[in-house]
Amino acid sequence: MLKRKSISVVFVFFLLANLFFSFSLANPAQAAEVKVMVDGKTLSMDVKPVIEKGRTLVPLRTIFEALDVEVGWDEKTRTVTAVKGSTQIKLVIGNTTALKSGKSVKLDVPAKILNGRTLVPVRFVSEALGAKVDWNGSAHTVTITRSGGSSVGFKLSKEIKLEDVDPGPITKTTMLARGEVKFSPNSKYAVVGSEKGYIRVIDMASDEVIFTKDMGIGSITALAFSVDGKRLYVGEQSPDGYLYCFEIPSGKELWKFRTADELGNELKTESYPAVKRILEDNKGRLYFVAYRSYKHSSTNYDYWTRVYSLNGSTGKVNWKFPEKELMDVGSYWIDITPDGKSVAFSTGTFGNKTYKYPSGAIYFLNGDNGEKKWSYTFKALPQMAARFWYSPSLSPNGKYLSALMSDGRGFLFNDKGKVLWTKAISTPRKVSGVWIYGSANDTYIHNNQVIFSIGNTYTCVSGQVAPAEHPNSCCVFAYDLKGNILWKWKSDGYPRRPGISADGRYVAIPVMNNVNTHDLEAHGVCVIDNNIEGGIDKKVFYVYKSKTKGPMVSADISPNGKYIVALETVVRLSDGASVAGEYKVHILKR
Amino acid sequence: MKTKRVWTGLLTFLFFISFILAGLIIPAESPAQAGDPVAVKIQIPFSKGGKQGLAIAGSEISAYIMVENQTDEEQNVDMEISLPKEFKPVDLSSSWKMTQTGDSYILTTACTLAVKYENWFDLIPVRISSDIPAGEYRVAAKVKSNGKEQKLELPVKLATRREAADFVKISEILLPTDEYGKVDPRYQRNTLALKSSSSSNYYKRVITGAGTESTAAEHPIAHMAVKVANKNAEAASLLITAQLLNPETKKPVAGFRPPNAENLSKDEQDRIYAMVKVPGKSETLIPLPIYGEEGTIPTGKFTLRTTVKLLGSDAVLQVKDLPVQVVARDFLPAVITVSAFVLIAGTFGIINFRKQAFFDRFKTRWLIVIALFGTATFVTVNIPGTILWDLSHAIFGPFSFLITGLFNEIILYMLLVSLVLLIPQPGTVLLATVMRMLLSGVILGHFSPVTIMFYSTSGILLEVMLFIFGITRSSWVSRKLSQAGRADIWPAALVISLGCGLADAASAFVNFQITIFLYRLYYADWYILTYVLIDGFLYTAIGTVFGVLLGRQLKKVAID
Repeated sequence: MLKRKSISVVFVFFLLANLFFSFSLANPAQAAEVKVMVDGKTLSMDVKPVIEKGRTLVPLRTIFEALDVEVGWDEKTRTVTAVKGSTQIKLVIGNTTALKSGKSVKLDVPAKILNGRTLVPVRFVSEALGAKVDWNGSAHTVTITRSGGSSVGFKLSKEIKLEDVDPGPITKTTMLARGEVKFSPNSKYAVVGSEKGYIRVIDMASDEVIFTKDMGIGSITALAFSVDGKRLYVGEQSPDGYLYCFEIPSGKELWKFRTADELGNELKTESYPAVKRILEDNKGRLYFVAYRSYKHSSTNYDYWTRVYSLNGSTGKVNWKFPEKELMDVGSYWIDITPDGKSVAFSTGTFGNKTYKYPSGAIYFLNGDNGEKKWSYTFKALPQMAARFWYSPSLSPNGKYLSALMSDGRGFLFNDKGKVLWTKAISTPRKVSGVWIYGSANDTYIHNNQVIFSIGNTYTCVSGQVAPAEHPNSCCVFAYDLKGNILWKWKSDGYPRRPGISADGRYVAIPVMNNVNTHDLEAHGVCVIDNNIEGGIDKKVFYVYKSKTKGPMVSADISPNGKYIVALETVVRLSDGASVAGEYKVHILKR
Repeated sequence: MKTKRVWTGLLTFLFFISFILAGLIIPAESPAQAGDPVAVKIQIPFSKGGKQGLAIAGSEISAYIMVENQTDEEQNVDMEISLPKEFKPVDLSSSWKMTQTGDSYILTTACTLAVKYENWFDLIPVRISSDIPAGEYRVAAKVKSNGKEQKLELPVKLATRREAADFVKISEILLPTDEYGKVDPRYQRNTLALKSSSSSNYYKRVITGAGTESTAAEHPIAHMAVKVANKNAEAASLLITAQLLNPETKKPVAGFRPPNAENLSKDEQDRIYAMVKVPGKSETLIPLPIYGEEGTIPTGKFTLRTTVKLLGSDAVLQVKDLPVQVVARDFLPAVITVSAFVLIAGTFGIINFRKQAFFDRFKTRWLIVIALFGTATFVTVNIPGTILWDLSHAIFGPFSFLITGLFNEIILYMLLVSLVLLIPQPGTVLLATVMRMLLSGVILGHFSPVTIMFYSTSGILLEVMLFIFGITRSSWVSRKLSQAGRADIWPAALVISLGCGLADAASAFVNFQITIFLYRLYYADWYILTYVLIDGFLYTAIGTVFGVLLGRQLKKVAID
């Protein structure tokens, strides 16, 4: 009997002991090391995080520095105070009641001091400051992501309402009121060119418009600052087709160049010259392409085009290409290397007429004298004409050139004109006898990455909207120089040409309307931080959405990475009556 | 004993509690609940959402398969698609390997997706047998990526063509409309009015401060709207095609094509397309832009053939033909109306300015005769015409002019020409016409700016022609008319007939343009031509000959 009792007791004892030890070991995080990551970066801590009652505590200074927070310590009251923007949190060592912006919050575990370091509960602190916290039990990792909201990253500083414009249909991007924004190289100013021909220069210190200029009947087609930030170049489409140079910040007109002198104009047919894409090299030389077109019919267009290099200070012509005649094809884009030694531009036409100069060609010129080094003519896919929109792009050293054809094929060339590789990114597919494609728009070479940006889905004929999206529409692709894909970002809207900070770290992508889904939530500005490790979802660390939900037609980030300016437009929704958005400029700062 | 029972009970209690708690508290290392490494999408046909595909017997559909990497790691993906034997893949791309078992076609392929969101996709053309029973068929997919396997099955409903045609119906075609599908009241229904660009856009933009715009994105020349009823619960993606056909030959009319259509094959051109998504259980109005070459599309009567296909399938669900009229916007009426106004204002302005000199050329008795003839034309032309107009119009419709012209033209010109033979002075006919106009206005109430214009242009043009052709001036015509014997007057009579015929034809044409411009009416070109030739020229010429004969007779008895 006693033996049986003893056995029972021992048995129960072992069961309970097993329970106890199992329970103790049940939290694997205590045995294994806990890792803490903020925006993809693992934090290095001199005191290891601990877990108490299922809550992870981390060293105060490490976490607050990672979250970019001001920290204060009151020795008398043993109180930690952290401030970020308008949010303030207070933790008292050993007290399970914390304050968040004056309101009491109950904690599961209080802050404590361990080995001379103050440890704070990481979930409460991070979430109170607007970050997202995930716990991966199997990997013993706390992942903190700072994204969205205005309390971290960039904050809306000011909105500047522009003139009234007519809303365009949400099913079209080309019929929306457009414009462009650009920062000066010294980050001091931003210029906004609006649909109705107004130029506004904003002082980023005060967020005030320091001068406004009405460009008259011209539509603004190109904006650029000089490298020293002292001059502003404005290109227009008008009967004169001027390129203006204004002094900053006075707004005084220094000179102007009339492209209609060579390209001509026809008032009654509304055929006017346009200045496209102005660039200045670091020697103060200006480069731009100007063209004029006239449509006889959908298959018959006339063009008059030339590439110019001017002296940025005086407006005097350095060279023209071609030297002796105009090209009879259109051109909408040009790029240069910062030293101006290499210039590249593309050609494109509508219609199927035979032209003297090839359509769908890339030209590579000597930037010093405008001589052609090489050219390459693309053969179009059968379904579409060969043309370029915002291509080509040169690498800063001039060794590489990327091009994205409107038919969805991306190319990388070397500086000798050899095609290094080709990618079929959003090439047309036939559905019920009709070809659909993802509109291939921008390419740029940035940080040794070749980026291609694809817009909305359209039918190859008439450019109508298709009810189903091409699988690669509204996406941004990045390849290395060898053609290996590095990342792909999917947007819900149409990603436009981004602004990139001078160090290449931040990329601000304005997102316009998705003509297929009409999703207003897709509109905004997405900011990528290339310093964040991990996949593209982690790199998109900030998304700005306007309260009025209009598409963002243009955005730029200051070279110092501290400011973003974005231009929102108005759009008429598919019911034909409702309108979303306002035509205004958003100034964001961090 | 009691203690023993208590102790046993306690141990038992602890024993069971331990087991229970052990089961609850001892944690198992739960396996990582990772999501699928690749997302797989199958749509039959392409763009069809929902949990069921749709195929139509005897048609070719595009089966869409897509895999997308959902992780930051590279995924090596092996795919196997199983299609029932009734769904035969055709024109497979070289990336697929196909084998056939008794019941199905097995397609296999592999790909590597290096980064998150990288995808691989294909549209597989599949021919559906026409003689298979309707019902549900299954398409299966097995996707292996980095050792993990996913299995998917898509039930595909097979419908006969008749059943499919019931899915969606074109309930109405509206033409012309605005870009939102609202009927444009400025034009007759089923009229395609071709717009032409004009430089007025430039000035409009200058005034509104909208800036300039040169060749912008392609703009449609007109719009139509198609009302489509979708009886299904799910949304339907459709391809709507419209073609202008010659009503006799049923061949497509050239020029009715969207921009960049030159890139299409020949049989794909000369039609416009719209891909639309129609919500389920609804009737949706779908506005369609109409593109075309304005210089190439002819005006006239055509058949507008609208076809509805399920997107991703070549099966035609419905065809609807609508007779349409293609008209071109014409600035000629405006120009002619303004010119007529200027002519009338100028003529009466000059007469008013020089009225003394004008009336001094007429003897008093001539003015009385002119007034009498004016009255006579009113009584013999206007009054019967007014009384009989509605009756003849009711009986003969738009061709009533063939009957009423006998009064309006033959009798009128018989009287006017006989008058001008009696008083061959410039201004005679004009004064008689004014007399007739005044009486018509006072007695019948036919007095409006438009009727003033009608009478005035008629009178002025006739005066001009009579002068040019030498009737109201010294010429061989006037001499022949006044002096020659009956047999010899015919050449002159023919000349005056020609002159009057041309004058009335011209004034008829001008009157049509005035009506078109001011009243926004439309007349077919052939109708105007017929009226001008018969009513304007022929009847006038006949009346003129009678007028010459009458005039010569009256001259014999005229005073002075």
